[in-house]
Amino acid sequence: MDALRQLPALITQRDSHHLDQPIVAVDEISLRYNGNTALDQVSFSLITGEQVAVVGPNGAGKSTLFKIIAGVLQPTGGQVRVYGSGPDGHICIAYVPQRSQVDWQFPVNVADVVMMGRTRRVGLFRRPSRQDWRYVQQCLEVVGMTDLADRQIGELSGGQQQRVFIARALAQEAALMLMDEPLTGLDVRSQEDIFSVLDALRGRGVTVMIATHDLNLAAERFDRVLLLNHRLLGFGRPDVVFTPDKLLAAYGGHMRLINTPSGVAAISDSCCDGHDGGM
Amino acid sequence: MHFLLDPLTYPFMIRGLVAAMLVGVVCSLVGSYMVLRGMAFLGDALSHAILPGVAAGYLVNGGAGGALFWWALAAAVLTALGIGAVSRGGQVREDTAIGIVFAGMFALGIALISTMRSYTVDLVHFLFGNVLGVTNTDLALTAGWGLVVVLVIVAFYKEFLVISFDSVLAETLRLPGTLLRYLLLVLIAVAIVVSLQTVGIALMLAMLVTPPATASLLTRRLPSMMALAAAIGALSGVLGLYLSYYVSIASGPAIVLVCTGFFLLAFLFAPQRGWLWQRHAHRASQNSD
Repeated sequence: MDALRQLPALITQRDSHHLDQPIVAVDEISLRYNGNTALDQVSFSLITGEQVAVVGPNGAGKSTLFKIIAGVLQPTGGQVRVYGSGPDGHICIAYVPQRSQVDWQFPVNVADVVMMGRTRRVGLFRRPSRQDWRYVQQCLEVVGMTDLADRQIGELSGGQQQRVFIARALAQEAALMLMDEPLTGLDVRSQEDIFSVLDALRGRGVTVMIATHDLNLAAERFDRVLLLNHRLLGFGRPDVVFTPDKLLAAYGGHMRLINTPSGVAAISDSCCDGHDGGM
Repeated sequence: MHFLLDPLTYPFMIRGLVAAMLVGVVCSLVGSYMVLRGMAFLGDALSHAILPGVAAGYLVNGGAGGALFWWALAAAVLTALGIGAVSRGGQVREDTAIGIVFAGMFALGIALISTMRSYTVDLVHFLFGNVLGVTNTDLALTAGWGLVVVLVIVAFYKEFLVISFDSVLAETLRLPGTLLRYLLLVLIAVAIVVSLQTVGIALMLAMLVTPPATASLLTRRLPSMMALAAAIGALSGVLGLYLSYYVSIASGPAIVLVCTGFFLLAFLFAPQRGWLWQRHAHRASQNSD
């Protein structure tokens, strides 16, 4: 019985962090099912506090990669280490879902959603204490949403919705945040709001991975970029990774490369499938 | 005043009212999670699937109410776990698995009942309830198990909230999702068994789903949704019994009709989410264009 095997999970201690180990070490992970290969022997490791953009076409395995790092999916090969141990022993990894994956009609307000991140910290059979609510307020302050704490989540703009979920990751006291396309469908101003939240996270030493379609933003705003299309095609500084041959390998026919005076410009047309909406 | 007090001169009426209120509260609390998680079909299946349990209990023990309760409980919990296990395998789609278990168990139940001499009367009681036949033993069982359900929901409120809203968050928080989902299934099963005598198998779904759905149109946070759903459920029980007393219709359907009436009112007139409001807002936005 799977259910009974989970019983100890309610009480056991979490794995400790070995700080001499990298925050994330991905070692040759693969995910294969029914003859499909979602991820093929991907390896890399992250430095604590860095912000990495994960770029690749739709269906390249970005969400899958995040869910494996978060310990939500099990790879069929290879392993992930978070501070030296398997991800499923950690509660410091936050997955920030795509907005299309959330039920915005759900009867919860902004503060309720952020408090969900503290479920384990509050503990079983306990109500959130006054400190917990104060902590939630502080997290909302970081993302600039204290005045909207009582709003039902469906009444927020896209950018605000995104920031609620980042606040929830903060409330979880996450050391590693995996954000699944937080910029998709947002206008430029809302994107800038997210970037100032990312700056605040940098100040707190939070390690961030962001899946994005936007090659320009990835190149301009991130320390390192990771180019993915089932296989890892490049990982490093944007000018090293975003070369014509690597981009062509990632995007194939879905990519136009244009020679301009300042170098090669890449135009991706893979950003707009139905469920993303709002583009 | 006489209108309200007259029925209360009958002890069976008082017992019926207490039972209907208890059922209204317990079903609405469990049902709130069902509505949010989209488990309505599963709830319907679960209530139908306990019929063979009830029938077997009836065949073995005769009409003794206490024993029937345990048989129904065993059938409901087994079915809940069975559906959970079948749909986890992934070979059969979950709603298909539920449909198969549902119809098969229901057929088995009717087959068992058809071996009895008082076939139709018994079947009608199981299907549509017999709230005025509630005994003191039944009432004690309903109250006791109802209390257990409420306490478990209070104890695991925030964990149930997380698995209902965001199962991936539940996993990154390393909450035991499978365990919690089975626990919720068992709670639904217990709520169904507790309500068996009041509304019966065929109309059970209305008690589980209609009050929470009504409340969801009128509230914005889960605690207030649950509280309002419980109030609507209890009130529907009371009003339904009075309706059945004065209009001489069967009590189970009367309760469900009152529930449905409340839902229609909310669906039409709820502020912001009601039909009238939306139509008005739509007009206003067209006019402003």
